[in-house]
Amino acid sequence: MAEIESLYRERFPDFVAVAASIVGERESAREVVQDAFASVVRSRRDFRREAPLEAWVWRAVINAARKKRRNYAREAQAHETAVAMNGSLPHRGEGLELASLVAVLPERQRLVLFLRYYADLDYRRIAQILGVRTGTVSASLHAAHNTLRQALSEVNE
Amino acid sequence: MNEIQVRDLLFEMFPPEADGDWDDVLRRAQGHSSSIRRLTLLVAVALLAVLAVGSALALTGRLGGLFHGTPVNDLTPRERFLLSEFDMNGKVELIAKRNSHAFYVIRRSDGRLCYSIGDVRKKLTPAQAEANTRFGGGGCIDPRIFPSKALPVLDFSFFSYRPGDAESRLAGLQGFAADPVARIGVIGRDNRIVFSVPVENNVYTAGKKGIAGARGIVALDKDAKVLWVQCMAGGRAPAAQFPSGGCGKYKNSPQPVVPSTAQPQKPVKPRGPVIVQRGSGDGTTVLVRGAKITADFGGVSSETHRLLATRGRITLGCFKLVTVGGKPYTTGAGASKPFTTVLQIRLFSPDSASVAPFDGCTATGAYGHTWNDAHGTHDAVEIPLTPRGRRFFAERAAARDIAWLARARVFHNIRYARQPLTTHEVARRLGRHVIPLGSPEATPPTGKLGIWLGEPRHIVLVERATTGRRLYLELRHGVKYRTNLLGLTQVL
Repeated sequence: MAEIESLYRERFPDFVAVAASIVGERESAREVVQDAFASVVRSRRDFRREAPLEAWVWRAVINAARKKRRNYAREAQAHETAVAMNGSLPHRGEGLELASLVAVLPERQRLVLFLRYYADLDYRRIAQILGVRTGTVSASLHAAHNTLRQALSEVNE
Repeated sequence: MNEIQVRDLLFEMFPPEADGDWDDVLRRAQGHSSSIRRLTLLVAVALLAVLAVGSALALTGRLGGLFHGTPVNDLTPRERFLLSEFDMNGKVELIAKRNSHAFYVIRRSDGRLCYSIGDVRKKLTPAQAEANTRFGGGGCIDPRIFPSKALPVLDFSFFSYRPGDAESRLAGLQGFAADPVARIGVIGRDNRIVFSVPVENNVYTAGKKGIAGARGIVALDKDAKVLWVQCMAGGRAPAAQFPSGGCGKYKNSPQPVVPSTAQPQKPVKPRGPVIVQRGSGDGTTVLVRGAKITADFGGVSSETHRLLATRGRITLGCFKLVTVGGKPYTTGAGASKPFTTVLQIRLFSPDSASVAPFDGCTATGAYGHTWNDAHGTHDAVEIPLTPRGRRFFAERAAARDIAWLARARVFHNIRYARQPLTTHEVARRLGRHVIPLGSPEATPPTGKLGIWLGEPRHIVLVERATTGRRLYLELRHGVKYRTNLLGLTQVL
């Protein structure tokens, strides 16, 4: 339990950011993280230590975020809040274009991007979290870079 | 774009959150059992709903197993795109070909059937071939409504009426019919069946035959027994040319009763977080949040305000530019609402076309356009959200200038002239906005529309957009022969 709490306190901003990259906005992402950790606390006895605890928790957060997003989709309307959090997103210019481009990346590419560059996790840990091979992480990251670069050149053409 | 830039971008998108609330996590971990009870209740309600739908289905008298044909597997990218634009994506089957018409059924994945009738045309000009699709008019209908005993006919007939005609004319009798229907009859002026066509392979058409004074249609079985009636001459007509007073002994069949079950909405599957875009133009600022559009018209000029407000309602919409089969198209959505200084709409569509990112947004009032009128060729409000959107607005304005002239009444006698006309004579007739061109390859200066005429009945209209792109329409014998306006203007 102490390990879970420690992970929560150390990594809370990272969990929220990655969840927000899936659900689309921060307030829901906070809720997702809270619920995911509550679920982890409840089911902590099921954890078999086949993978690191951190990977298990990350997976719980990502699955909860995906579920939340599916619920939004079921409501057949896009959630109103945005990737722009606390007015921090630039309103015009390249910043907005980049944010939009990141937002429309395929989910795996977007997740890998956030786990690598926001949560600062290494390829092996990302692979454990997403249940894929390390090579897949590398390929997804490469593809995300390429997609961004290509889309940027289209936008700026 | 390097790793540092990506990292900066992600942190800009989601600045690090303040510390979490661990006590809240523990409270949530304890308060889980009540949500299980709520879930059980929801499952019970859902089960009841399924049972109710099943009972309702049993009462509709649906006729099943009809409308099967040859799968169509050679759809072009443009055809796929157009079908998706009308929410008609699915397996396409060719049911029959009759009188140069092709009849299609499209089976959507949600069980709905869509029906479409298109022209079978062979000799097309390059411009027609580019713009042509095999699908003409069409629509989708709940299979519980058609085919059913209550609605055995899905009629796609159309009427024509021109100023000066004494009455309207049934110009295209065509549609789909369920198996028991053997013929489709037309009710004439004296409320008797004056014409009928056979139903074969579940389709019917009278080709190009027109029937003046038609008042309705009836579905007849093989013994000429009336199965269903659709009388168009109901109630009081607004003018003499439209039929009124009913169809005598042929009374309208009752409307099909549809079980009032909610259709399962195909959920929008967002590919990622909701995107925010802001833009401004023509005195209007627009804020796009996913599918929600908010426009503030506070800064529009008095002339634009008059255009938008005069008739009360405006259409606000946003679009994105897509490439289909190497050709540019626009897709998007809009909504019509009463004009207010700040207007908010939510776009709804089962696909991703009506959520941000968009390339631009527009607002138009309830006013019409004629070629070279005071309103110009831009919408009342145009707000580019991307460089591509800005370029589109500029090129669309030039394309509209050409297309609207080609369709204008003032141009009709020139386009279809039997006598040879000279370039200078026609340019003079069309006014100062149009200048004569020395050759069909020439280009006029920006802001002018160039025209060139040659033999036989060969006309080229050219305009240079402010982006520098040369836009043109070439007409031969009055028919559009070659053009690069496709995707920029609907009127062509």
